[in-house]
Amino acid sequence: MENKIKKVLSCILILYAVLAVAFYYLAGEQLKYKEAVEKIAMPEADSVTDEIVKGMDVRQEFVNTVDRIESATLVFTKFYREGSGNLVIDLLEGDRVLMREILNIDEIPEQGSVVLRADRPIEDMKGKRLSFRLYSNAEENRSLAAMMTKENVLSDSRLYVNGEPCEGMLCFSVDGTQIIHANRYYWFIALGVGLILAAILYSSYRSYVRNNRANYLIRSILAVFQYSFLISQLVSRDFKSKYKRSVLGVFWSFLNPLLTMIVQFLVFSTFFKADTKNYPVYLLSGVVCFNFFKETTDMCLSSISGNANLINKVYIPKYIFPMAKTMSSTINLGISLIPLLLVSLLMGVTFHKSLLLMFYFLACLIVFSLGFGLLLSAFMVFFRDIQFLWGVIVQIWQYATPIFYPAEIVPERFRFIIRLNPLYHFIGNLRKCLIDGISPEPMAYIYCLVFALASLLAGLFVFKKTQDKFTLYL
Amino acid sequence: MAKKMIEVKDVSMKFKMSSEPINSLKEIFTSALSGKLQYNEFLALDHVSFSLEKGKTLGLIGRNGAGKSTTLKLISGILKPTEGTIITRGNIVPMLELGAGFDLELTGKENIYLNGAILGYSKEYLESKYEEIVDFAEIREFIDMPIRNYSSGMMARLAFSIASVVNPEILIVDEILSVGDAAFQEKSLNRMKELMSGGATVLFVSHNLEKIEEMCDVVLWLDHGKVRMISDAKEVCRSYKKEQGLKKK
Repeated sequence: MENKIKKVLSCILILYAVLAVAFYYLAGEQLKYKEAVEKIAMPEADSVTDEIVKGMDVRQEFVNTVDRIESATLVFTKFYREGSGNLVIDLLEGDRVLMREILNIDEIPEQGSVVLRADRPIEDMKGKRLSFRLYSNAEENRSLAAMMTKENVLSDSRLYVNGEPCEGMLCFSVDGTQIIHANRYYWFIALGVGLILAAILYSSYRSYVRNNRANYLIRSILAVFQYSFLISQLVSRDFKSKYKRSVLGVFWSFLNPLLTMIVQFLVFSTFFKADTKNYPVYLLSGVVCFNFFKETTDMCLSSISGNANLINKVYIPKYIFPMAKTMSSTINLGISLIPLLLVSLLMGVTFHKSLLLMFYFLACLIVFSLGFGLLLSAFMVFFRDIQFLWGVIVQIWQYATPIFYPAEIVPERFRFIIRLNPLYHFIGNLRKCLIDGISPEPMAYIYCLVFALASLLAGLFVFKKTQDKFTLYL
Repeated sequence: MAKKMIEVKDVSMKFKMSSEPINSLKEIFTSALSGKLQYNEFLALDHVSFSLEKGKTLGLIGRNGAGKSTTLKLISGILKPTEGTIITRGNIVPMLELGAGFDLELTGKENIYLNGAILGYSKEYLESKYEEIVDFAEIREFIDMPIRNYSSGMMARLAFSIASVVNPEILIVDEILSVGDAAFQEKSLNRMKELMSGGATVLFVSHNLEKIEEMCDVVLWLDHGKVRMISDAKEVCRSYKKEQGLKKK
């Protein structure tokens, strides 16, 4: 037994090390940079410059707030005329050209924005005085003018036309990312957490071997050894009795999310297709995740009360029941990932290394659902009304989560509701890994972990407090 | 002195029974708010103490509602006592209600594994004892059939076979000796005796006084949750019969 525990404990430590290293490489750029907080936003235009013709030189100076510039945008108007000739836009630092864009005036749409994109982010630009310089070779009445504002002028910005200072400011925005400073300490943090983990594991092992006192950790490991067979039996019972008399059997786990997705796709695609990148995959990933949450909590809800006759007759640790239910729906989730990945492939999603990070958010989702399952199964024993109430709550929750609609359509003043919704974070980050092929920013991992652990701890706490009373109420 | 396998020290068990059934959240809230949430307390066991040495068989007798089943449930860990402590040493096999974990949709074979797991057997153990269980239950030709097609006798036989295949250190039995037909009853009784002679400590509830006298070393007589008498089997049974006889008159 001691050897077994030793093995498990060292496995935990090795697993941690592997994950810490793997995460560093999988998360890639997103671990180092995040979306800049102080972006320069596009102001509302209320006027325009003079027509930018041959020989004219417009210069907009400003103080940059973005750390790593990735793009800059300007807006133009052609006064609804045809144009010809070229327009040159430079982004300068002093006399050094950071970005240059040479455009055919004819190709710029009316009131269209022109985006300058850096091939590689321009590093370390925060606080620097930069300027846009605009000039062209177009004849009069064939050129365009830049949109500008007189109301929303940034402080420290100056507009010069042909070297003369002018009132107002061009309408422009600067977008980019900023360095996450904590990243520099990634290895220190990872090592520190690793050492703490090692210390905890070692001290629990020692106190077990020396004083034969099992702490929480050791006890859970022992329980896993002792009850893994029972859990596997309960899980296989769930599957066997669920599909026993159906013709398609386990295939339904595969088919169910697909059919839901198709129905919702037919209903909602006309509304949201345009706003959303790869709508079918967006939809299906949401459906798969939410269905898992719904299925797990539904099954856990009745897991204690439904096994009343067993609990009253044989001693089994009661947490086994919600855990077995969560396990069986986790297997279901695993099966429904197959259609998700197939549909992604069919819809032309290219898989990046970030795909593996998806499993982190799935793991958080599973832990979160287990926590809720424990909570609900305990409540259910005392108040049977929960089963009806929960059905309603789940339905509200489903509509409050961006599953079939994009999160962007929610008005800003209601966004906070969405941000407080753990399922939005799990699903949203998973979609980022799957569809966008990039890792979310590091804080997203921490948020999700906190949500998952909070739910689990609340569930365990309530369950532990009440479990001795279960038999009295069943 | 022989090792004490079960020690029950000053154990009380209270059940709260609400005077009227409260079944909904609303009722709980309204009655809790108005301070009317009242429970009638029912004392199922009242400061009961006893202990049992290794290899001994204890019979529990008493009228319905005297607290016999509660005692068994407390010892097997299903219930937690309101007061007092219970110490048990060794693995317990409770035969309280056989086949409690059966799933009617599964086959006999699958149920052997499921029920065995519920009773705490390991996978290796079940695999090694599988043949023995099937043979003892005499259901070999139906083993791959869903047990919803079984007769109640077959189900009971299967349940008894699974429960009795181990050699438990503590065996808890609640009126299960009337399993199946006469032949199987005989067989199961023999199996029980085999387990007892194999060194198991047994707790035994029955209303059949002859059987109690035949099988038990010590008998505990419970009366309204209190220990009325605990002593040699013959003696307790005699007094018990005497009182029951008196009541009849």
